[in-house]
Amino acid sequence: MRIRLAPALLILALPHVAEAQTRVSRSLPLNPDGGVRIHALVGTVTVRGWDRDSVTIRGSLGAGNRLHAGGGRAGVKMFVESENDLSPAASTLEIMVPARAKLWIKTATADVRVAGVTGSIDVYVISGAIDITGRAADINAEAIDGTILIRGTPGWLRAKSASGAVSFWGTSRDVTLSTVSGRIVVDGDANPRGVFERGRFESVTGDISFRGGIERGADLRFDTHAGAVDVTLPQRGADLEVTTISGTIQNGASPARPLAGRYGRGAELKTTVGDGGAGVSIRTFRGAINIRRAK
Amino acid sequence: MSDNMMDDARLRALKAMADRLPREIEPPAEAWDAVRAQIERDGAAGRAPGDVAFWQRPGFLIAASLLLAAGSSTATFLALRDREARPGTVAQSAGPAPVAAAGTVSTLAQFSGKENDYLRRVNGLVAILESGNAALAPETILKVRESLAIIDAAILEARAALARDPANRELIEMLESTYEKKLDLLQRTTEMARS
Repeated sequence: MRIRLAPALLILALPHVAEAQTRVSRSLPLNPDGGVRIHALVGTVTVRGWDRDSVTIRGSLGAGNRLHAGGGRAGVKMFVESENDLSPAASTLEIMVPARAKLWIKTATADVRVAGVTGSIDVYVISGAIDITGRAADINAEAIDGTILIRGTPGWLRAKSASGAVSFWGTSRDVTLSTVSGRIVVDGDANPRGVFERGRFESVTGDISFRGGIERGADLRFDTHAGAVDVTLPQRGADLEVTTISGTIQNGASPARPLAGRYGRGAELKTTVGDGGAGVSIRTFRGAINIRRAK
Repeated sequence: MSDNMMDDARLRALKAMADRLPREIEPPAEAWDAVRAQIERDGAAGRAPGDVAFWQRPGFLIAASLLLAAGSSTATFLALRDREARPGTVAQSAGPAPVAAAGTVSTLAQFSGKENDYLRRVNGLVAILESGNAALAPETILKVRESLAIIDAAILEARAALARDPANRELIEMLESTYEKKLDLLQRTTEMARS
C-alpha cells in the first residue's frame, strides 16, 4: 500500500515544489576589476566573465530561500539565506561578472562552475565539485570532499581537496595541488606551449600523475605517502632526484637504474635525463614511482 | 609578504650573477702594502702576538654565531610561513602560530619536541570541531574522519619506520609533511564550518 501511495504523493507534491522555486533576476553596477563575493549553501553556482561593468544574477531559489545582494561599484556581495539552515533547499544561480573581477565564492554542498574570469578566483566548497576554466590571474580552490577541475593557464594556482580528486588540464608558472586520498592529475599537454616553473604535488594515499612542459631552472616536487607517482618528463629532460622508503622506482626516461635505498629498503635514483637543467624531486614512503619521457 | 615565484626569480637572477663572477681574483697590488703597514702599526702600538681585536675573541664569535643561527631560523620560519602566499598579497595571520620551521631536525629525538607541538595543535583543532560549534553535515564529518584516519595511518607507518631508523632525515621530513597535511585539513574544515 505504501509503495502504491508513493507515486501518487510524489505527483501531488510536484506542483508545490514547482511553486516553491522562486525565479530571481537582478543587476548591479560594478567596476571592471571590482570584487564579487558569493555565499550560497546548497545547489549550483555558475559564474561567467563578460566585458560589461555590471553583475547580473539569474536563477531559481529553493523553497524558503531568499537572495540578498548589494554593494557599490568597488564590490558587490550576495548570499542566499535559507529558512532552515540545517536542511537548506537547493538554489541555482547564474551570475555574470566583469571578466577582470576578483571573485570569492563559498558554499556548503554546491557545485561551482567559473568560466572566463581573468581576475583572481577564490572558491571554497565543503562538498561539491569545483570546475574553473580560463586564464585567471590566480586561483585558490579548496574542497573538503569535493572534486576540483581546473582548465586553463592561471598564473598562480592552489587547489586542495581531502577525498576528492584534483585535476589540472593546463599549465601554470606556480602551482600547488594537494589531496589526502584523492587522485591528482596534471595534464600540461592541454596547453602545449605552456611550462611549469614551480610545482608542488602532494597527497597521502592519492595517486599522482603528471605530464607537461618544464621551464629551465624549474623546481617540481612530488610527495606522497602511499600513492603511486607517474611522471612523464618533457623531451628536453630534467635533473631527477627520486627516493622511496619502501616502494619501487621504474625509470623509463633514461638508462640509469635505481639503487637500493640507503637504509636497506626502498630505492633511490639521482640522474640527469636529456639536457637536464630543471629540478624534479619525487618522494614516496611506499608508493610506486614510474618515470617516463615524452616522445 | 614574499611569494615563492618572486623569490625563485630573484634567487635565479642572483645565482646567474654569481655564476658570472670569476672563481678567484688577485688582490690589488697596493693591498699587500696596506697589510704590511697595518702589521707594523700594530707592532708599534705594542700589541702582543696573542692579542686580537674584540671581534676576533671567542666570546664575541660565539655570540655572533648564535645570532646568525637565530637570524637564519627566523628567516626560514618567515619564508615557510609565507610559502603559500598569493602574488601581491599580504600575509594573514589566520589560525594558531605555525609549528617551528621544517628541516631543522635530523633525528627522531630532536623531532619529538616538534611532534608534541603538532599534537597540541591537532588536539586544539579537534576540540573545536567536536565542540558542536562546527556546523557540518554528518556525512561531511564522516568524510573528514575518514581522511584523518588515512593520515593517522600514514603517520603511524612513518613513525614506526622512524623508530627503526631514527636518523633517517627523509622519514622525518615525510612525517612532518604528513602532520602538516593533518593540520591543514583540520584547519580548513574548522574555518569552513565556522561560516
